[in-house]
Amino acid sequence: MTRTTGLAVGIEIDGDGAHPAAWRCADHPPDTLLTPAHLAEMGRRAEDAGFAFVTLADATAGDPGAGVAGRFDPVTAASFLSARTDALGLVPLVAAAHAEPFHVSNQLSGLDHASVGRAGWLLGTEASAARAAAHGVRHETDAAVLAGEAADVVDAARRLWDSWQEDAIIADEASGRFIDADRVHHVDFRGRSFAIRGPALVPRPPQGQVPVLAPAGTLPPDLVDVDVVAAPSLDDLLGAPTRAPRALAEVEVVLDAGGTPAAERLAALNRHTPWRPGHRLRHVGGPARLVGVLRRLADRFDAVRLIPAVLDVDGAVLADQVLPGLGHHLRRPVPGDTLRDQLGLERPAGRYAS
Amino acid sequence: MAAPEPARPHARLHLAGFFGFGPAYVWSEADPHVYYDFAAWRRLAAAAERGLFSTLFLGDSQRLREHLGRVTDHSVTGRPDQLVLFAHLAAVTERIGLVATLNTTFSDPVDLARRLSTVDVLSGGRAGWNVVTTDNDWTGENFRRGGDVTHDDRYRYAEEHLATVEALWSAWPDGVTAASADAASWSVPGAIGEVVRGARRARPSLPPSPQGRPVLFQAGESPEGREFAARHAQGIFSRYLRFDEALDFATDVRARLVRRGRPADDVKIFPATRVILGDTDAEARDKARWFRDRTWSDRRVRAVVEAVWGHDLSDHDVDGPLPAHDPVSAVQTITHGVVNTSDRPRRTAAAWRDLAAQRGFSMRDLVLHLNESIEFVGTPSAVADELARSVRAGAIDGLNLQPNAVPDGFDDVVARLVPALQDRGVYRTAYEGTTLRENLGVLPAPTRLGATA
Repeated sequence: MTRTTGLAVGIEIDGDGAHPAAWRCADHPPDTLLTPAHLAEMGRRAEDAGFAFVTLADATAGDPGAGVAGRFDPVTAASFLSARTDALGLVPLVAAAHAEPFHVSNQLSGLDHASVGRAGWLLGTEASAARAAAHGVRHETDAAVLAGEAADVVDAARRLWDSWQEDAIIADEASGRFIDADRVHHVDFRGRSFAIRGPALVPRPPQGQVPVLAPAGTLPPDLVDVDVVAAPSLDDLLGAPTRAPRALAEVEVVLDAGGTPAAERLAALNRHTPWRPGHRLRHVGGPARLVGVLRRLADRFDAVRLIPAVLDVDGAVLADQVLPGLGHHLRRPVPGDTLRDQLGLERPAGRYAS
Repeated sequence: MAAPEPARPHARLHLAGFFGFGPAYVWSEADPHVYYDFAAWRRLAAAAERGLFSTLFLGDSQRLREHLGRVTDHSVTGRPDQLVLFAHLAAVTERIGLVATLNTTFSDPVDLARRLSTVDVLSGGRAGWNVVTTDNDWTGENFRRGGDVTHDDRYRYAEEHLATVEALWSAWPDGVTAASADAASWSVPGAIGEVVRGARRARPSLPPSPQGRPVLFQAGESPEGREFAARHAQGIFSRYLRFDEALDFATDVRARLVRRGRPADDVKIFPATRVILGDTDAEARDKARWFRDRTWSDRRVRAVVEAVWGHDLSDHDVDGPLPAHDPVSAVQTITHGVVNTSDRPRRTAAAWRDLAAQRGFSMRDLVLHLNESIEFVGTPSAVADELARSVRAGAIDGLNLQPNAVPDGFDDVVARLVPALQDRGVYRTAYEGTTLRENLGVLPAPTRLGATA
């Protein structure tokens, strides 16, 4: 597979940013966050800036403390954005644990139809205690069980996406057949904890298969299009092994903004609520240095997912300084691109193709 | 027998734009891929909104229909996830409602509450939920939880499901999110509740929409269904369209509302139908006949008979008599997910043969007779007169209107019937408000009744 030219740069648009106190620095009041106008504005800004895609995080609502207490359903919100954007990839996080795989598959292929090929699936492979409690079921913590479940959910979803052959719709007036029933298949999937008869409720999605972005190393590689890599340092990121056709690096960003150095901004935010470093590289510094980091990542990765501390602040610096600074290293989307085009992924043939 | 409702001289008709699952469009007249194209849905929605329809409405099916063990091939089949479609349409419409039919058996209430709230908030308060439940094991083959619910349990399960959803929708009060970034906390501490039901502990994901929470619809005419509607619903999708039947049904439902302490007009009744218009009555009838003949292909007619006989009848002429032999009841017939294992096919076949003999029916005549539906066929002014009478008499509140074509199936109604209804003062000339509750003319959500009283 030929490598695409340039880095596809995505941005996470959950809430007011990844920092738990981000809402205190947003340029809008809290009670306008969960509105259609705000969501549409986030999509417009990302598209205008030249981001390849947005990701929409997810978590089941728990006790919010002083922070943001609400969140749209990511797939549904992505579908709203599909009608307000033309080139932007739309990549909701959907967790495998407790999911109803038939719904997940149809919702994601629906999003791909809605966006004419701009959907992606950021796979969540962890289980949350809050989600287990919300469903009234046991909280599964065994990593092997969760990985097996995730593999089954993805496998089932993929089989369903292929269940209508491309040429299933024949509209043959002479025989009175709208579809050729021999080209629409039961999938008869049997997983560890569920079974699905099929077929899917809609024809094959425009991309053939919605690209699956999954944490590197958790699923059999043939189920994954893009390995998502998180590591605490740049060297660790560059050295991380990947097996999927494409690889994506995750970077949290806190940038110098409005004359205030990034470290000072972060310290001020942390005085409200601490944002402890996790398993991801966190860039705290100037935009020019981030451009340098991204150029180095471009040698090894096809895409990055930037996770801004404060969307309204760091997102603006990314748009105004970082993306323009990437020059030819940036792969800017144009209307008509699919997410596969952005990521340099070929459109796969269906498994039932005759 | 209930007394007739007093006349409603100022009542107005509501239109709902209905997209059934696998309806019989004249697919040979269009690009066959148009049925899955969101641009076509946007065009249908825009036409309905131009025509001041109260809402769009989607039917539900979570498994493609099958015929003799294979996917049904004679009609358009399949449709995108309803809330994915409605979230997309919410972004390109302003006033029209978005009512989805969602099944309690195959969805978790926490997921459903959240997805529907998302559409409600993103549409500015225009979402609705037509609550359905099923014990269909056949559809359950696509789901983790599908096969588990027995017939007796499904109503209990559905009640608990709805109660959980409503509890989640009530748990985030109005006005508890901070209006300034300088506030001490994002929301008033402790104001957003936790819902505890059985083993579940869940919190709501979104604040109330401008209409508080999605409106509820109900479809079904059984006494249980009517009581459910009287307790919970703001809308009913019905099948009663003949004037006397419709009036009886509406009168009964309204009496049940009043017994529950609700205003009689707090639920709107929408029978399903089609409208076919012509410049003259004869032209409209010609169009209706053309439409019927084109949607009832030989293959589709034969499939109805095959579903009872249980096997392929392609060697039988549909313009000839019913098969002389008895149905193969030993073979399980799978059509629409219904498995015939009893002697019902034999009894049905006998009844059909009797009817065909009495009336001299061919297979086609019989199938068309059995599937005759009430439609409004005529000139715009004649149809408008008839509808005005029904609405003013209280027999119906609206029509659940199926388009005859995609993507332009509402254009005729919008261009010709709507103005005729407006001339008669029986149809709005502008949307009353921005939310579905306002445009249906029903009370505010329960959580807001106190605030507005």
